[in-house]
Amino acid sequence: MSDGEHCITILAGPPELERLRGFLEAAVTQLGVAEAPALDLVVAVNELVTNSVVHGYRGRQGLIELCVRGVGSSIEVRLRDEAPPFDPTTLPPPRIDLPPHLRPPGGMGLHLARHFSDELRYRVPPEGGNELTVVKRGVRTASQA
Amino acid sequence: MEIAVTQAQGRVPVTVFRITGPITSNVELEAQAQAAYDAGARNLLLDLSEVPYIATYGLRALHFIYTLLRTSAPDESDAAVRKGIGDGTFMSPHLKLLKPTPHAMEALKVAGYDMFLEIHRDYDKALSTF
Repeated sequence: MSDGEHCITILAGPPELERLRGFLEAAVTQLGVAEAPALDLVVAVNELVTNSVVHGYRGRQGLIELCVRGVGSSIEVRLRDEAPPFDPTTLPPPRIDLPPHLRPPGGMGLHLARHFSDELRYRVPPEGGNELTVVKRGVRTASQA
Repeated sequence: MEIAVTQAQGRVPVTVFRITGPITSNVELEAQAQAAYDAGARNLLLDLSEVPYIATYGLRALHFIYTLLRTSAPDESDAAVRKGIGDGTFMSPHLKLLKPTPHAMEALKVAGYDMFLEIHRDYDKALSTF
């Protein structure tokens, strides 16, 4: 069973990220998620949206839509953008056995997003662009689910 | 995010940044660190007890500060650092962290930053290690 969605659309750019984080934190709190898993979701989603801004749109103007919903004891956050299609879930994990200045660049945002979520699902919607769904399981109590 | 800067004295002078709020941008923290460095700071303790979480741009700022404070001493060379991290014997002598919150600590571990940055729970003990 799923609850109603909470959605927001932002311009793809760093100034909008704070608004998006605030919206997400408020939405998952309203859906009955405790502080620690709420922060997990905020960090995971922040990294994925940052990747969309930096690597997807690459400075171009565009929109990012975020929708949050409760599904049973889980939370699902769906992100959509209109950037060129790219599936980040296929990327390998970064080298963390080296100090940062000796590591190959990139991949840390996705690494954090994977760690702080339980599942990342990717698809190209019929209208194009990218859709990523972030799933966090077991974070809502029975009375809320 | 807010940064309160104080000076302390271990065996050497230590600049302490007490950060409040999530670290989601590298810009301000890097600018403050650069300003402290330009004013003569060579050892930095970051108090993360009021940082609810750290994003990758925050990790990027920590990397910037680590590099800024790194010297040309032989035990800080690339080869020494690579070997020391592999052996578990290298920690930055100039940048250390104090009391990260659980979520911030998790990000540091996931990113591997705990392999080269000392993490302390006690302020006085942290100062004494510089």
